[in-house]
Amino acid sequence: METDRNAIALAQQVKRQNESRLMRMRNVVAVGVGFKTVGGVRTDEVCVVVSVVNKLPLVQLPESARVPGVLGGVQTDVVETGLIFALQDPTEKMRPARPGVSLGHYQITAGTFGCLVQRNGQVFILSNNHILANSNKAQLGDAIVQPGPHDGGTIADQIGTLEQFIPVSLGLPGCGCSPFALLMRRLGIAKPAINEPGNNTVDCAIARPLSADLVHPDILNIGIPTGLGTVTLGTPVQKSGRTTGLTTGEITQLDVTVSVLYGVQVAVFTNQLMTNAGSQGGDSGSAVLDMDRQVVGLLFAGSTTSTIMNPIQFVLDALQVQVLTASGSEL
Amino acid sequence: MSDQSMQHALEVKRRHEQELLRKANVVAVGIGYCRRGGVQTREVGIVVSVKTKVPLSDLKPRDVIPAQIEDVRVDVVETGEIRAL
Repeated sequence: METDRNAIALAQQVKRQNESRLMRMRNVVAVGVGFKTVGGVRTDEVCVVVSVVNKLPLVQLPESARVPGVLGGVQTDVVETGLIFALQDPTEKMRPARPGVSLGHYQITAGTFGCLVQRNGQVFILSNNHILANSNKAQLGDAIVQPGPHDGGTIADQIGTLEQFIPVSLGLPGCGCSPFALLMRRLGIAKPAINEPGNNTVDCAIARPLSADLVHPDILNIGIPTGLGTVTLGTPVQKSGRTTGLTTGEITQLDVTVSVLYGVQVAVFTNQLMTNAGSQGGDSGSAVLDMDRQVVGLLFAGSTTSTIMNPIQFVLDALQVQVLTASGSEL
Repeated sequence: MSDQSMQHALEVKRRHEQELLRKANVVAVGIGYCRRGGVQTREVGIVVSVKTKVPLSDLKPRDVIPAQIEDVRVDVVETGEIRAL
């Protein structure tokens, strides 16, 4: 339509006259021409669209950081996009490294940086035991490299050190449970271990970044987590992993008891979640989120048709950490 | 799906999962929606994941997975071997 073309031309002209000023404003990451959205609904009005890292109440912004409602007779619209990054290959070296990229213990192949977690203000990288702690075989303090060794990562690419891992109990139930231990537990003197033979719940570990500026909480292709979510059958979920990138699916099974192969050994996990979101070797350690970017699980296993994750609360409880979220992190 | 039917399926699953996991080919037991004729229904049941589906005639009687346990439907899905990724 002719009117649209005129409106677009006018908006483009106004945008060019103002864009360098707008781009200098705090929080602004992009300026373009687009349709205005009012109350969540897209209108036919052409306007100057200003993308910001995060929307803030006007009262929190100094005059100099407020985007005018109208510029040269053209409406403006402010949309929240978050930081905009150059699209990057998750198997390459990245600094700051973001969740979704390749990393691992220096003696493994490669896995995925799941998300950032924190404890008493210290930030840690969350992934699986079999990625950061070489399936129970690592020593605390061992080097974690990004990308993982399979993707060319060497000690020169060290990003952190192994801080803590929860051992996975390989083997079938019944092992290692002496009558004495069972009696102690029945009397409430000994707490059950988090992961017992035949009854593992988590494959998780954390690494301490060499410095805080080597990592960023924004998950590749997803964004910064907003909190923790709960799931039921059919809940849509997404993950961003080293091998298959961003994949989506839904929760297909709850309360799953599953035999997982670690090389030639078997570990039985209980209370797990299954999804049909695709994954392959190297995706282990990915955070699984719902569509509101709430973390729901930690991916660690799968087959050609299914993906298995630890419910995130088990992981956080086992490691005594919290997920770093948009509201809690410095932008 | 009612919370009640989910809870019931969970209880029945927990009572029987050890015997299911001992059967040949079984890799996982969980709670999910059952399929009928390849189409997912809204009926919550026990879902048994197997490495490969095998004709009934090739299975020892003790390895056959029942179609129903107590009053809960059992669905068998082929997932292949599940590995740490």
